[in-house]
Amino acid sequence: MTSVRLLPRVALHEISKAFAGAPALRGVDFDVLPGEIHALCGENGAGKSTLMNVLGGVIRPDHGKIEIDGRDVIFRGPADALEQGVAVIHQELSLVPCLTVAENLYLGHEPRLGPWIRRNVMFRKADAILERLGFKVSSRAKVANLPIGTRQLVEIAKALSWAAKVLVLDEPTAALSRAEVERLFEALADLKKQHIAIVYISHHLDEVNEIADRVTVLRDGRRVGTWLARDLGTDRLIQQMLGQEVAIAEKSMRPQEESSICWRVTEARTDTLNGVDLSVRTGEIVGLTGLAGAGHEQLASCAFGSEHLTSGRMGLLGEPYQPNHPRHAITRGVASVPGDRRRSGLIPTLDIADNLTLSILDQAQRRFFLDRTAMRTLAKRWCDTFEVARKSLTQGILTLSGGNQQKVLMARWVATSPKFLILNDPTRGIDVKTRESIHQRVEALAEAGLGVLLVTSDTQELVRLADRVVVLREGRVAAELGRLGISEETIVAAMIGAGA
Amino acid sequence: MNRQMAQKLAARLPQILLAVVALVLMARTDRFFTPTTLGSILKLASIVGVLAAGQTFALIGGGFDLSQGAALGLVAAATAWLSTQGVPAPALVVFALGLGAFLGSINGVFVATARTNAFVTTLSTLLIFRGTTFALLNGHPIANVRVFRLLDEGLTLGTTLVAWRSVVFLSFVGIAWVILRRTVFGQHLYATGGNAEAARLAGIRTSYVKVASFALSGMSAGLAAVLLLSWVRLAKPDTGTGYELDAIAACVVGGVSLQGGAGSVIGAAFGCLLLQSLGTLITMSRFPDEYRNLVTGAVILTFAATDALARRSDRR
Repeated sequence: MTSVRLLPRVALHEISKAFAGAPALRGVDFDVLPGEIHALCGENGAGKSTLMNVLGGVIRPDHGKIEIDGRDVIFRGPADALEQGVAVIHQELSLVPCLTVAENLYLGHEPRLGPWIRRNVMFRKADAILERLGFKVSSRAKVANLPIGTRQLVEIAKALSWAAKVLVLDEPTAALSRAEVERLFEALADLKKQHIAIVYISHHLDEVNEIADRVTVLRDGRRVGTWLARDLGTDRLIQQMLGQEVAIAEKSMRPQEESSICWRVTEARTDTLNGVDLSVRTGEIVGLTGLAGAGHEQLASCAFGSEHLTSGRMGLLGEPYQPNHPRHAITRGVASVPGDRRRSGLIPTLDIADNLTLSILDQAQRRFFLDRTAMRTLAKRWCDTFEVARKSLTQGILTLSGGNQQKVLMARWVATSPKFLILNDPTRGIDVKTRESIHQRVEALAEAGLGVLLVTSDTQELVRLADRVVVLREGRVAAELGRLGISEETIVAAMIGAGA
Repeated sequence: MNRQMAQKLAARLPQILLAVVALVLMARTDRFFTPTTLGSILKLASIVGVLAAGQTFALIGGGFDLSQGAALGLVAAATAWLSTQGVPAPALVVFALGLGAFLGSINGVFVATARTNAFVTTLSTLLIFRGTTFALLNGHPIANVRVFRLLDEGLTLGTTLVAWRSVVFLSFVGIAWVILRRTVFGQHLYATGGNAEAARLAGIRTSYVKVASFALSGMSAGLAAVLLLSWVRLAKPDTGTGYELDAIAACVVGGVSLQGGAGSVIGAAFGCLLLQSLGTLITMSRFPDEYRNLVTGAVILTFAATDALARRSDRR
C-alpha cells in the first residue's frame, strides 16, 4: 500500500468555481498519490465533473491552486494539463474512428522528420506502449473496427503516449461488458505498479469498493470527506453521498379492476414492433420496458403521433384514435413527457416561462394576440405547483439543474390537463430527492384518474411505480407482470429472455 | 435580476463601445445630427431595413434566406411590367406582396418538407429567380415606372420631410415585432428555431411555421421591391443584387442569432440603421466610397465575434 508521506502527484487546494453566480465547487481539496487509485463519488450536480474539468485544464478555477509533484502550476487549457502529465479520459471517447490505433495514439505529437510523419517509428513506439500495458491490440488496426471495450484501452494507451503521470477516468465502465470491465481493472492494477496516479469517477459503487484505495465524496460542491475504501462500505458511502435519508414512500394502492380502458392498442406493427397488444386503464400506471431496440420507445412515440404504426389500431377512452402529429394527440388529451430533455424537450434559447407554457399558449391567447401577462401568471402558478427552484421566471432554461428542468417539462404537460400521460424515462440523471418527488406526483396523477404509460429501462422505477409491467422483446410482448410479480429480477429476466 | 442585466451588458461591451465611438465620430462631423441627414439615413436604410425585418423571421425560425435580393428583382420586374399594362397602384402593391410571399414559400416548402439545407435551397432559388427575371425582361430594363411616385414623397413634420418609405419601413418593423412577440405564431417560431424536434413534440406544427417564416421573408422582398421602384423607377435584370447580404449583415449586427431561436426585429432594424449611418458618415467625411466596404466588414466581424464569445461564456 502507499505511504501517506509520499508527495502527491497532483494536489488541488481550496478549489472554488462558480458558474453564473451558482457555486459548483466550494473550497475543495483533493490529491492523488503515485500508484494510487482515488475514487471520486457524488450525486449528479455534486461537482464531480467540474472538479474533473479543473484537473484536465478545461476550466480555470476562481480560487485555489493546483500543484503537480509539489510545484504550483496553472493550466491554461487541456493541452497545458496534458503537457504537465494529467490526462483525462472522458466518457465520450475522443478517438478518430477512421485512423489506426497508432495514428490515434500519436495524434498531435507524431514522430516527425520535418513535415513528414515517420510512420515506422510511430508504429514501433505504439507497439511498445501496447505491449507494456499488455493489451493485445495491433497498432495497425483501424479504431472503427475495434469493440468499445478495446477502444477504452486504446484511450488509456493514448494517455500514456503523452507520458501521463495522472490518469483521470470518467465513468470508464459505462459501456463495457463484464469481461471488458475485468480487463480494464487488470490494466489499472498494472498502471498502479508503474506509479501512475489514477482518479476514478464512477456511479457504480461496488466498482469503487473493488478497485479504489481511497474515496472522496463530494456533495453540493463541497468535500464531505476522504476515506480509505476498505474502511467505508457501500452503505456508508451512499449515506455520505446523499447526506440525508430520502424517505421512499410505499407504492400507493390504487383500485383498478373496475376502471374503464383509457388507451389501448391492438396488433401494433412497425419496422420493429411485431404485433403488440397493450392497454392502460384509467387510474393505472403501466410500465413498458425492454432492452434497447425492443420497440417500447417506438410504441410510446406512436401513441403520441410522433411516429406512425404501419398497421394496428388504437383507441382512446372508447373512441378510435389515430394521431398523425403530436398536435392531434394533444387535442385528444394525450400528453408525453420526452425522455431526452436536451434533445427533445427543452428549447435552450428560451426562458423558463416560455418553455413551460409552450403547449398551453391557447390559454394565454386573447383573439389574435398573446397575452404575456397571462402567460407569466400561468408559468408562475405551475412553477409553484411543481416547486421549481428558480431565481426568476425569465432565467434561461439551461441555468436550472437537471431535476428542475425535468419539473418544468412535467409541468408543461400536466398543464395541458391530459387524460392519458406518457412518461419517457422521467427521472433520467436526476438526484434521489427530486426523483422521489416526481414519483409521488405521478402517483397523485394516477389517483386523480389519469392513465399513465411509464416507458423506462430503470427497473427500480418500475418496481416503485407500476401497477403492471409489460416487457417487450424483439417487438413482441415477452411478459406481462401483475402487481405481485413485479421485481427487478423478474423484469430483467423477461427483458433478456432468460428462464421464459 | 440586476446582476443578470449587468452581466448581459458586460457581454455586449464591445458592441456598446463601438456604438459609442460611432456616435462620437458622428457628433464631430459637421451637419451629421441634423434632421435632414438623419431623415436621409432613415430613407436610405428603408429598403434594406424591410429586407432585414423579413430576414429576421427566417433566421429566428432556424433558416436562412439568400434569395431575398433575387426575389426583389423578380417582383420588381413583374410589377413594372404589369404597370406598363395599366394595372393600378393598389392592385400592384397587393400583387408584389403576394408574389414575394409565394416565392418565399417555395423556399419554405423545400426546407420544411424535403428538408433541404436552407443555405443551399435559397442559393438555388437565388439563381432561379435571377434567371427568371432575366427571361421576363428579355435582358431589357423597364424604365420610367411612375406608378408608385406617391411613395417617393413624404409627410412634413415641422420643417422636416419624413419620406413615406421611412414610414413604411418603421411600420413594417412594428408589425413584425407584434407578430414575433405578441402572437402564438411568434412564440412558436422562436421555439422551432431553438429546438425544432422539441417544438414538434410540444405539439407545434413546425413545418407550417417554417414555411410561414420563409413566406414572410419573401413578402418583405416584395415590399422592398415596391419601395425600390418608387425610388429608382426602373426594373433591371440585376435589380437588388447583393441586398440579401446587407440584410443578413444588419441582422448579425442587431444580435439576431444565425443558429436560430434568438434575436429581435428591433435589433435588426437598429443594425441596419447603424450600418447605414456608418456609410453616410464615410461619404460625408469625403473618404473614397471604397472604404465603406472595409469598415462595414470590420464592424460586422466585430459584432459576430462578440456574439460568439458571449455565447461561449454562457455555456460555461
